[in-house]
Amino acid sequence: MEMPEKTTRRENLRMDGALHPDPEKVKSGLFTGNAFFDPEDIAQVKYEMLRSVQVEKLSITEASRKFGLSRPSYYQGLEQFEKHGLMGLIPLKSGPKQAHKLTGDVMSFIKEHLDIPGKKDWVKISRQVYEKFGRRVHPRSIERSLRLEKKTRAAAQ
Amino acid sequence: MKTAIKEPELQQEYELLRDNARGITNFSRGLCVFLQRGMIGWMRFLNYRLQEIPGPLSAYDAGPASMFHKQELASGMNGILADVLIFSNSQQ
Repeated sequence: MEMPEKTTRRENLRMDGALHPDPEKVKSGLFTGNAFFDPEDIAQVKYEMLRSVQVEKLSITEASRKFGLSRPSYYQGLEQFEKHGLMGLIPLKSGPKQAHKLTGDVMSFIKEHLDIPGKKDWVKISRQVYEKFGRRVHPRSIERSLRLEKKTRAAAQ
Repeated sequence: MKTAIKEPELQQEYELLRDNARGITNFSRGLCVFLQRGMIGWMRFLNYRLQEIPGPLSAYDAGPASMFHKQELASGMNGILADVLIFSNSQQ
């Protein structure tokens, strides 16, 4: 089987956050000589690692070594696979999923104060947030967050 | 990613593709998507298929890559199908 253009597939995997960080560590014979098995596709490598233990009865140590992943990765992969199936092998996006200080209630409070006409005093709003919620938020963070929200809303329309 | 396809069907689909991919010389639609987009792109394709075009998955995806449904081609589907068609044409 001929290989698809490698850069295109790699770019697609990278955009999906599914690029194996160390594809050269994948030593399994499956991943050499057949374009279907791609050592750069982390979801496929994880599935094949789990499969090699379940079907081919490899030990966990041997499987993790052959597929270039750690033993903890094996156990994490297995747990996710048992809970969610193949979809569980898709890497989760790293980083915070939402603001941990500027939560919904804080943002609503800020917006209420923004309705007051006149120049926005971000330092004052920041102080009011601290007094009401006990959270120290930099005035620039409040301004940036509101700007981002406005931009997102405009893009959605 | 929201999904419409449920386990164990998804795993069965992968196993079918896996079996067919060994030494295969003709490129099915499902296989072309897999080769071009990897596992996640392929799962996205299957979900799209189930939601947009009725009918059994395996029978459909075993068809030749040159026979993509008009609806799929019209949608573009985030460039997946455009990529796949270029790839499948390059194999012929």
